[in-house]
Amino acid sequence: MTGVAVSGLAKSFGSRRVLEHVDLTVPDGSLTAVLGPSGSGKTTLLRILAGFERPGSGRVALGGETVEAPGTFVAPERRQIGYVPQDAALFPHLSVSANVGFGLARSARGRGREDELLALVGLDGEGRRFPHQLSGGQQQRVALARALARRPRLVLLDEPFSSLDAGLRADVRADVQRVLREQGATAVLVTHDQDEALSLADQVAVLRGGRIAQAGSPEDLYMRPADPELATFVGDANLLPGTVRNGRVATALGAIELASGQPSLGEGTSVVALLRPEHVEVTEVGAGPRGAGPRGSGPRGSGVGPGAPGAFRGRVAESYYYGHDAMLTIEGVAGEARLVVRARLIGRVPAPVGADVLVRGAGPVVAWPAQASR
Amino acid sequence: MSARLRRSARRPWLVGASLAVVALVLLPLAFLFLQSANSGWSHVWRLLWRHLTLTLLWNTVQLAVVVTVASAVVGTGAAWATERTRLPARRALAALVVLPVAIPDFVVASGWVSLFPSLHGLPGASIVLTLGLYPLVYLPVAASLRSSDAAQEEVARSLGLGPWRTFFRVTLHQVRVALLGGCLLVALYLLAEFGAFSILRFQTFTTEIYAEILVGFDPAAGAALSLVLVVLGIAVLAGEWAAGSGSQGSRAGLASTRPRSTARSRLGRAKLPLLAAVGILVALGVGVPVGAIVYWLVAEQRTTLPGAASLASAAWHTFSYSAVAAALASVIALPVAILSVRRRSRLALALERAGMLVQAIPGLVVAFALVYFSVRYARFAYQSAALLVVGYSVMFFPLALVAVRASLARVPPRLEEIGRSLGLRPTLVLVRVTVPLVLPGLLAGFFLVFLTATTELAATLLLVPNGVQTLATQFWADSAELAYGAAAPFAAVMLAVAVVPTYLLSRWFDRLPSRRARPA
Repeated sequence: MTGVAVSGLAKSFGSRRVLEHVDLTVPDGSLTAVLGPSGSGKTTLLRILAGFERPGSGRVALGGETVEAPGTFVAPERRQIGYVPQDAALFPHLSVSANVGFGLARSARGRGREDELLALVGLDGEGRRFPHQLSGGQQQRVALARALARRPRLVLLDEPFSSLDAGLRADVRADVQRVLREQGATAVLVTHDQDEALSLADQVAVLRGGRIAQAGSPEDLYMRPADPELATFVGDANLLPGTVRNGRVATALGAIELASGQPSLGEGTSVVALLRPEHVEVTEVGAGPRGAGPRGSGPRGSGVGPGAPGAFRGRVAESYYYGHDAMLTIEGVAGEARLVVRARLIGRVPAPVGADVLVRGAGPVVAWPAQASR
Repeated sequence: MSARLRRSARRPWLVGASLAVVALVLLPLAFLFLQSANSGWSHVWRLLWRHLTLTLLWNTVQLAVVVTVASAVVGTGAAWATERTRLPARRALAALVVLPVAIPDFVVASGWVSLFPSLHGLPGASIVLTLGLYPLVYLPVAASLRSSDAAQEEVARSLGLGPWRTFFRVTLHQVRVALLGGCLLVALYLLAEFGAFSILRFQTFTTEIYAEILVGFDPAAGAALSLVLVVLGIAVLAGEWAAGSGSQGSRAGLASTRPRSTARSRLGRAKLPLLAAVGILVALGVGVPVGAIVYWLVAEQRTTLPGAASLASAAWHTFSYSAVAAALASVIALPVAILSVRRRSRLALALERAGMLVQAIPGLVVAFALVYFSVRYARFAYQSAALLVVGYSVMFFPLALVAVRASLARVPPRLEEIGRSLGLRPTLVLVRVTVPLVLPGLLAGFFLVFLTATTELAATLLLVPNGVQTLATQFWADSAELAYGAAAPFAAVMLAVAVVPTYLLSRWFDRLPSRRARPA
């Protein structure tokens, strides 16, 4: 069964077209993240699902019931949804318990359901407090409990973590994911944070130019993006020009294996290949013949040797060390063109700025015909 | 557009209720036109084409300009002194500085005239009314200063601006909307003022209309002059709308909860002069009228003190009329406020503006219209308490609307949406979410109207049921005979009653995010 089925959704505000043509299917019991830059219309999409906005055209079905179609409109209060907005939006005049029980029938209020939900979100015994006495993370948990109280068939989360600071965000995120899983709730989360989308969701849908550019599992989206633009939007990406030779892509960083399962590309086709920074192998060769580097000379690390076939020689232009990994920007010349490569090193001390390095691509890579990608 | 239509069509009761309220509120205006049409527009023209009209117009405009400018300067200065400097005793001074708004202007005028019998005409009226009206500028400007971030001023100082240039280029800009709103109130208040002008023997439209109605028994002349006054009021309103319409909506929404910079100017050598200036302002604005009342009470105690019964009766009538009118005004303001804040359609805006138009109609004119309307079409209502209450509600409807509207604008629409997503019908959302959240606004509207109604004089004189005296009318009657000793207790009660709501109101202007801690 499908939790949410959206087809052909379009919405304009005045002359500004926010949603062009949105098709999206959310499997029952799954968490789908709608990922898009700010202003991409993702909140509008969520508000249409909730029934707060009406689209210009298109259909929405929740759990098989059509709630939005030409001539059909089910009011928000009859959609059986739970809505968790960005700023929690707790009712300031009600206690935490009363907030959680707000949607329950009068007879069902104060019978333990509120406490049960508060325990679920880790706020046992806080029911008598008022929203302004809670921290941001606690408010978000209460908002989630309130949304779940009526056992909705769909939970909508509108950037629920963006107002929290980084440390708190991870905790609340994990708790929300756990609670949604435990409840078997179908959920749609809207976010502009790709880490959040990739780490939380079962399915990620990228909203771009008023359409869903791609929807799929987080791995799919990261490893097999539909086009180069998506590749740079989700995660860091090196886009390398190349040519298909013997089932591999010949690039300045060597001949790299093509990933399986993508449309076949004819021998000799000019392509653009996606090489993620963590698939770039870097070997330090010292400061090179022109200057004395601080680290002496000779190959270091576990990369390729200086004479490895197809390796590209460049110089480190930027080097950022994050502890768990490090990010290098390496500049060099390939043929007549200047080439900039970003490389992620894991578990290694990075080469310093100015060091000469040898760079090689490790596959498999995804590639698109060159003309399709500007 | 179609979505908007669909949405308002889904709540026809809201539009219907708002239409009914606005129609009621605009009844006096309709009556003026009806009356003028009946007596013939050429007759109206003849009545207006007199030297008298020009004199009245000149007097009124002169006074309006002088007092509005003076109130703007005094009110903004006082607000800056109490909100942005380390003035000694600033909390006490802030409380004292708003008090003149609670003292009826005819009491202030009586106090000054009893002290300085020669005070009259334009200078007298300018001094007395500026001292009475500057809090109308002070209150919104101080609230605006409190809510705006002093960090902007600090940044200006760090960019090399001196304190004066910072004030003119940054601070004044921050409070622009509030200042404009305050000036509008002052100007409209001046057009409607009657009692103080009468005491100070300053001839304006209101004093002349009063004379035409009560002395000359000439409704045609009264209506003609009223029309001019209403046109003046509409001109003031239109000026304010043109100047401030763009920026009014921008302050809506939840105020930021992050701590604001609260740096205050240290003043240095300017401390004592500034303290003296604010002190003199309080002495003149509060000290003179209160001192006069106390003096009358003490000096003439044995000779002319009224019976306790007449005082109690006047107080009871004043409070009950005012309270019922205040409740009515707040309730009828709710649908118009919801419509104008939540449905930003052209119809909603038009209804709101039409409702605010009453501000341009002086109380005396409202009362005059209601009297003649009841005499002609609803004889049973003539001289009834109900008519007086309706009159107050109509006159002070804009006060209630402003209060409810401001409160509603601070309630994020998202809360109502959440209510609906949790399964509540729109009417239930109204009861369980919207009304509880705008309760502070409804209460503020209630107190605002109550306070204003207890000290209302002109309309009360025309509408009060036969044989009944309110605090204001009794004070008026006694002070007209220079029996200040007899009048003083009535003024004292008005003052005592006014102080509490004034305090609550200034707190309400204060209150930014709704942080109502309750006993858990």
